[in-house]
Amino acid sequence: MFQFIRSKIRAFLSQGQMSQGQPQPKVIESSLLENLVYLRGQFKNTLELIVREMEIGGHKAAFVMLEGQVSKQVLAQAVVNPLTAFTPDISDVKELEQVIVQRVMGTVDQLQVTNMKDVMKLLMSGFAIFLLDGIDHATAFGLQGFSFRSISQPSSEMSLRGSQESFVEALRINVSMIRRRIKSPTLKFEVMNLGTHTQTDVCMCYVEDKVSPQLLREVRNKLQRVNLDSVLADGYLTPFLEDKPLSLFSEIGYTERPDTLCGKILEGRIGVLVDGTPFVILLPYLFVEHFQSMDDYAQRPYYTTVMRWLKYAAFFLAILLPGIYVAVGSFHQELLPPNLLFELAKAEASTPLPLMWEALAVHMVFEIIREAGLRLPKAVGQTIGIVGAIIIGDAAVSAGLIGAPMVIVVSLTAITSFVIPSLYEPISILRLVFIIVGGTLGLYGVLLVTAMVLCNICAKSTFQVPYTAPVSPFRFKDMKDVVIRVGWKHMGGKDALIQNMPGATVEPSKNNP
Amino acid sequence: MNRYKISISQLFFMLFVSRLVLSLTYLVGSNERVMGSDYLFVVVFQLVTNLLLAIPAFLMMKQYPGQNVIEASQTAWGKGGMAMAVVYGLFFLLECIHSVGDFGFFASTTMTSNLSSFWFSVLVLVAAAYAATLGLEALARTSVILAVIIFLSVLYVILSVTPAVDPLSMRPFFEAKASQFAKGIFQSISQNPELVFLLMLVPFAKGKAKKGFVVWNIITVGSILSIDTIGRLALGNVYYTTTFPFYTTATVTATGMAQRSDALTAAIWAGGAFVKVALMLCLLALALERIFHGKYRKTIIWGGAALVAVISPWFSRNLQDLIDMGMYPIESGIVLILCAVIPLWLWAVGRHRAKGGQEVCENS
Repeated sequence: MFQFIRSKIRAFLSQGQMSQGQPQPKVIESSLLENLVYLRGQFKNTLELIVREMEIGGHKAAFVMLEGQVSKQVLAQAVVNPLTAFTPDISDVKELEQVIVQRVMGTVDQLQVTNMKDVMKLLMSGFAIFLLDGIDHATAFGLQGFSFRSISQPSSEMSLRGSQESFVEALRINVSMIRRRIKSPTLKFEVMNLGTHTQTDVCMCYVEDKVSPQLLREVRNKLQRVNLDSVLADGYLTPFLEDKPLSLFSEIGYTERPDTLCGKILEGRIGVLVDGTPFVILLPYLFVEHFQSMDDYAQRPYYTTVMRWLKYAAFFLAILLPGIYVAVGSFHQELLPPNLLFELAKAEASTPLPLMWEALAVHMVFEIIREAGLRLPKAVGQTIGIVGAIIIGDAAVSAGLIGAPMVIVVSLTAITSFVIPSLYEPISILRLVFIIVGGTLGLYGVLLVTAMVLCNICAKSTFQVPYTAPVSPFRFKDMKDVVIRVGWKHMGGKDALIQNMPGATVEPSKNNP
Repeated sequence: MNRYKISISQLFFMLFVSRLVLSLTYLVGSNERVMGSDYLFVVVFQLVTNLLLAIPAFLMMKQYPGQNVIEASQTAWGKGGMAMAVVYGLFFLLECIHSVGDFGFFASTTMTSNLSSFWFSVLVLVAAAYAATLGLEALARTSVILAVIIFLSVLYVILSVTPAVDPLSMRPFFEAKASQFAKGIFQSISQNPELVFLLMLVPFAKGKAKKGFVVWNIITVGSILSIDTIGRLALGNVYYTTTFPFYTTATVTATGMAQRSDALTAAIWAGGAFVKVALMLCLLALALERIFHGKYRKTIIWGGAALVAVISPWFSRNLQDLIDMGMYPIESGIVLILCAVIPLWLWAVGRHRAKGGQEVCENS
């Protein structure tokens, strides 16, 4: 696996990595001593720097590496041992260097570097640098041996019948997982370094004959305009990629599943992989995609269709149910049948707070319990859930602080919120807004604010594609994967491409005009 | 530059919502009370009225391709055409005041809430102004979704009322006089300001406008006829004597556990009013920004909304008096002038100039 990864690195570096507008880098000197002094100066007070000096054929040489980044076993077997056993009879240092690099070293991946900036970058990427006194360039050997998390099940996008692999933090491994699934030369990975200090590898992943060139240019330009000091997660790039970063609904999506990413990029989208993050950014991302999952395409169409409707219903329930309950309970009791009205009145009659404040308080408590459960270790987190949900909820109802119907409404809302985890953030905020609106303006206010939110969603475009496509602007034949899911015999084709969505003003792809 | 912002179907969805909203809270006039069930024939005749009144609009658009009525006026009359921008802008402002005033009257007389009708009107205006600032495309897309919801909700009310239907409630028929029919047909023109909206919006819509208009006309009139018929069948004479007939019909609905859909009706109306008021603020901006060379669009929208907020309470308080003073016939006259007379005039001017130019070519 490491050899496979290393074989890609030469291509990455030779593609012309984007520089951040920095001044001319320091060149490598012929004097080994000067080079080592410079490197030690750059890495002073750093415990990882290892310098192994030696003498080969009467000439001084040195290996420089960072501990924890290289595999010492491979280093010893492929490099140090052969060098130690090598007794050359060559006086010319250039000839000596050629012999060492081409015949003695047992590594696959070798790069020649001429400046110190590349040397330091390669050192920090798990390369070992070979310097020979009298030679004004260095040779880098790919000996990566840093530790990384192994491929495991996705934590947020569970699937019953799909792949159980998820992305990991190492970019190269994620790239290999994508390549394994799309064995086409049109699959491209463009890498760039972002973050002045972190020099994080950020990779754009797309299928060349599916993606729109205009979309590609736009994403590339936006990424090149990132002027951050550090890029430690994909969330750092989000404001630079979105047109309206303050909007409630995001114009970009995330996935930690390689199969989902492959499906999306085969529809003309672009994936942005960030080294150090197991989540990949997807763009453009439409509103209806929040209701689609990988399992939808593995299950029977009729079942998927029912589940889709359930998800849509869950979304509206999660947002509107507390607000409507508060509105109806406070102002429009005539809508309720007498038996239900009597039960609700009996439950709420003894509670001290009005419905609106009760709903707000219970939702706040729920959010606190949820956050606490997220941050604590798993064993304790489950206990918090039990303590918070059952004991506190039950005790509060028994004490007459809140009504049982309110607990039921909040519980139902909480469960439905997690049906679409990617929309949890806007759901949790909108829920509170609708509670306040319902408690002050009644059902009319709820509907007006719903219309405003709907208008806000309809006004959004994600990279010149309407966010609410293909629902509005409407196209009947696109409903086959929105409100229903037809069989695979009728899906796919040119209409599946994002640039062919109704209302999209993106340039078509080269092979799919 | 691509001028098309929306599709024809989106345009007519917006106009459908706008027209249906009016029917849901239409204040019954004296003529309708007298005509009774015969007023349904006036509703059916709107199919013909709308078609006839749309002809000048399509003639004008054919004479001035790709231009709305204000641009066509500027082409025909130069700077004098700017006066049309003010005229149409004022019309949209008045329609906005009418709609918000209706809502205020509805809120103060029917809805029970802890907020006054003024604050309800302000809420609708704030929401609509926000939507108008987002642009015509956003409003059109929202209208499509809301139109489906409103249509389904109206269908629900109609089906829920069906158990209470009594065919005998429709009688008597053909007892109204011809003059009452004529008056009813003339007054019904005031219920169709959408014909004026067409003059502003068709150039921005991509698709077959004539076909879209015919479909819109049939569906809209069919929906209104259904609402009026079912209401009449359920409530009998009460339908045309009550202030808000459809709302009153909704109070008698009962479907299993759910009953009294009047609050649902009011909520749906609020959603439809949102679209209509937002559309009129959009049109106001579209008309007046011609005077300011395309600038100050948001200022016009929020300024218009503020003006409507100030004037509409007066309108609500004096609505019944205004109706008695002949508000509907006057409004019909204004709609007639704006949707038929002015476009015909423009068409005639354009045709005359085209003929004159042709004669010059032939003579030379």
